[in-house]
Amino acid sequence: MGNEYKIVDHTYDVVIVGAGGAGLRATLGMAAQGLSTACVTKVFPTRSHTVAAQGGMSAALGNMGEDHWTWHMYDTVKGSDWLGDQDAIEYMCREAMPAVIELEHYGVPFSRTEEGKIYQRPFGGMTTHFGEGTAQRTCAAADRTGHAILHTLYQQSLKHKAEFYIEHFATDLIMVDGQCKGVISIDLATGELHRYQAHMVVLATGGCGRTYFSATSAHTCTGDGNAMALRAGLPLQDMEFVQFHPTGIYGAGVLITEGVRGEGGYLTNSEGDRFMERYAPNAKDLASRDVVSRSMTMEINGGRGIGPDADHIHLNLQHLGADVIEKRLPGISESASIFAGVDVTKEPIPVIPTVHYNMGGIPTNYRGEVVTLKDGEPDTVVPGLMAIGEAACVSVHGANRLGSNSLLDIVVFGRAASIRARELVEPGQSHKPLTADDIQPALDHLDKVRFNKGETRTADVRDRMQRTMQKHAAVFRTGESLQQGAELMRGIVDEFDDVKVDDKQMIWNTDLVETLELENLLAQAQTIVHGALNRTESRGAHARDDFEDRNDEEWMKHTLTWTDERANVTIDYRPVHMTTLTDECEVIPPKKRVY
Amino acid sequence: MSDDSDLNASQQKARLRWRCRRGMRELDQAMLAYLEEHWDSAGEEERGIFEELLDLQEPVLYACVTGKTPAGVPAASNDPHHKHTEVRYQAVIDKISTSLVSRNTKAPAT
Repeated sequence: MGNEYKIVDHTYDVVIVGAGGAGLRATLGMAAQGLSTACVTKVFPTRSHTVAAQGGMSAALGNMGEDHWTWHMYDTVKGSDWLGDQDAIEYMCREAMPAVIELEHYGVPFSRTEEGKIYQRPFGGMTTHFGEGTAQRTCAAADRTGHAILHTLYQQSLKHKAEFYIEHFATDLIMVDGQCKGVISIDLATGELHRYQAHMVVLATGGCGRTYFSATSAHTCTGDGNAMALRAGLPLQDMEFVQFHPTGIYGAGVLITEGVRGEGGYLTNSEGDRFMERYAPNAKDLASRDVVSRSMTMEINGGRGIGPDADHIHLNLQHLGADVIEKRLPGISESASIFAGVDVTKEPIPVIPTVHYNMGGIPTNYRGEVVTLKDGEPDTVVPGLMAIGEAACVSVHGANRLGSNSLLDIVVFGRAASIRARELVEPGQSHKPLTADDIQPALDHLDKVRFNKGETRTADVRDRMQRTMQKHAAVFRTGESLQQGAELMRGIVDEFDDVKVDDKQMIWNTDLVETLELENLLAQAQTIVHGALNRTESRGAHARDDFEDRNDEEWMKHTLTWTDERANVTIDYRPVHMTTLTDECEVIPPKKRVY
Repeated sequence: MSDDSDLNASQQKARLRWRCRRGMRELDQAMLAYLEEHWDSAGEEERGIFEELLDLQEPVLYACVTGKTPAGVPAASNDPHHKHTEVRYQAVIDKISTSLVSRNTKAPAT
């Protein structure tokens, strides 16, 4: 074994891992309050996946008509299919307004009304008067809200003297007696290891879309923080809840907007059959996202998929004619041409249901502190560790996230984490020195992957994992298909033992980093497939064909999943918080989720 | 960010491979497609332009790779200070777009 690493030491009050919207909001907040703050990120901050968020950010400002945060809370609880924690949802919806105003002051150029107020647009699932009317609640900076937020928060963080470690890949948390004491990273440019000691480590590492074959996520979305938490002996929560968009371009994963079907586009199988007429006789191709995604998957599983592997569906808009496509669906013909090689006026677009968002993640309370089930106590705080954004499961999205609630989530809980960190950490507080033993597990882990003797290529294992997850743990779920998926995944995880990293040196060793990312994805894939197999009900994004109804009596609880060294999964539960923080709102009791 | 004077060819390419990690999946594919198809045979000037493209902000890069905004035309932007495309980029941008199209038409990749 090597172990000949040069280790560069740092001490900070706080270290944030990840520089997407959540990580940058926390970085800014902590630095601005006088804490010495480092942000460690594997890609340049403005290249974080938050940049892809175009829709906007919800907040009941009421600029475009009446609105109230309690209505926003109702919508979010209902959207979550009653798996969301109501105290956290109350906090998010109440804090949404000051959070947006703060962003505006920092310099995010929100689109405006003629009177100069922040413009707000309607979005699916956002209502007034507890489901009665349509709310205009979503604030946007043209079609590049995510980019504007990232850019502004990065500039503000620099202004407050936060220090950035860019193109550093975080490998492991430093855990001492159940407390988090810091984190280890590889500096990709030099190959040196960095050891950051901190009183608080914040994981803001995003979701794990790349566990699946078809995902809208950027390549960087490998959920590294989730896997670091698992290796530290901590559970992930509600990982079986994965949101799918029905029309991602086959292979490329690029989204084709629902507007295409709104304008008369329709789906066909290999027999040219407009199958949505069978599954949803009234709404047909305009049925809700989860219904369309499930129908497509049933056609594919029934052998009526398209292509050599019979694994996708056609989206037809040829009949609309070039004029209509050009006028009403700008950008679609370019996307289809570039990412599918298709002329939409002559041929259909190959599409499949595509992973869009992970509702699950590292369990936290509404202050951003990581919690776990310990000695029967489900809200035990893990000292020294926070998680925010898509990496976290607060849980505000429960079983299903509403559009424009994710940018809100990252900003509100990035801010909440910074407020809580300042309560817990005094600037300049002394550090108890770490010992060599404290980081030995991280070094052993790195050596194990780097020097593994095997013959299998990383990309081949990743491909098998992604195809298995897409086939067995996607939209259409039954006990049988999930059981098969779990068995196949067991074999694929075991194949990782035979993975070979060709490149042994450490400078720009992307082979090693991609292998470490694969290891991270495999552990998360295990939590998804086992969580889904275990949950014998349908709720939100988790739809079981053998258990079609929501079962509140048995299943209104969060799934916790731990993994061992072999990525075997252990399951337990936490209760859903059916309480509010104040008496300004009431708990919303469960009822059937109908739109 | 051409900080690779001491790097050997494979380290240099690995560094670029990492810089092709973008915030948007569309751009991951576009930049990687070029790297795999054209980088090895590209001349010094072309390589320099590719590196400059990698330093662009995502919305600017996306607008030029999809052909929405030709090189040299400032893309709409939230940030008045950031870098825009230059006319001399167009030939490399065309190669990126072509590589992407042929890659997506041949065999869909992950």
